[in-house]
Amino acid sequence: MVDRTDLREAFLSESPLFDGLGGAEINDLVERAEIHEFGPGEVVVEEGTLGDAIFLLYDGRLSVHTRDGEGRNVELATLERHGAFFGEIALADPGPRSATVLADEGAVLLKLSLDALNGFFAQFSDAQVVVLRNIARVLAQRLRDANALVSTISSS
Amino acid sequence: MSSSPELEILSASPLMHGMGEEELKALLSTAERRLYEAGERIVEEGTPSDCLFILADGAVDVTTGEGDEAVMLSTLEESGDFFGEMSLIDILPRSANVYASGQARILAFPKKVLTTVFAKVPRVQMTLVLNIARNLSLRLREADSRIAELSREANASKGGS
Repeated sequence: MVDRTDLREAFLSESPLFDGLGGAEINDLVERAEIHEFGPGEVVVEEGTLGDAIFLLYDGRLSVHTRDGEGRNVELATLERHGAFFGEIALADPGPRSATVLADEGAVLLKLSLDALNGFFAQFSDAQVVVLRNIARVLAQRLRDANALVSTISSS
Repeated sequence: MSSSPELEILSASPLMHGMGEEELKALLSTAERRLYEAGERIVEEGTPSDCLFILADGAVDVTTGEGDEAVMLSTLEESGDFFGEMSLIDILPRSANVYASGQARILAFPKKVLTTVFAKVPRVQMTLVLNIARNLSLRLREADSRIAELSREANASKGGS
């Protein structure tokens, strides 16, 4: 169902997470990636459990949930763009997942575990700082968006 | 650590977490010491980012906008607090103004000079980038809980529907 050539040429190499990596590095990452399929409504990651992998959406749709102070479910976001990713914080700041992710209508995901990534970094030592800098860029953009949202809600 | 006060400031900074004494010394050797008077602008919003700053002594205000439109974002007042770190991550212009709120003593690390340290001691760059990512992750988690809290208040004020 998932063609690894396509993963290499059109997926990992286009992800902002792996921007700046060379062909040999992308090939190695593809070999280390696991492909996971989830049925409709299945839990991909659960809030509070240890984050130990980065996931990239290959196909399908996901929704991101948390619970409010009274334990009610709050949907935070929907992910449906090919290449959308989450869990990247685990690489910089391992800790419990901050949200639950569900496969709404079924989804195919590429999983890069921390073990797989550490193996990759051991082999390509220059790649680690490249990927971490990409993650920091993504986090900085998310922080700018979140701060803008805080100002919007505060002033409305 | 048998060291100078500046080395102690550096080693206590969250940005330097995990850095060894030799690495800190290599970094400190590149620092410019700057003294700013109250009200002086250190960083100007919208200008290119080319320097990392670590607060040695005093306090700075982080603001956005100009004149009557200016909004206060935060105050940094702990020795070891840092700003301008995004210059090491991306090439976007400065996202805020930074002013000295009283007299402020600052260690400035021009990006050009840091790059030569990174070439000699690659682990320094790795550690800095890792600490920056951790700090961003922490601030993002804080912003996300603030959003959740504000949304809850907004829903409650609509009569809990």
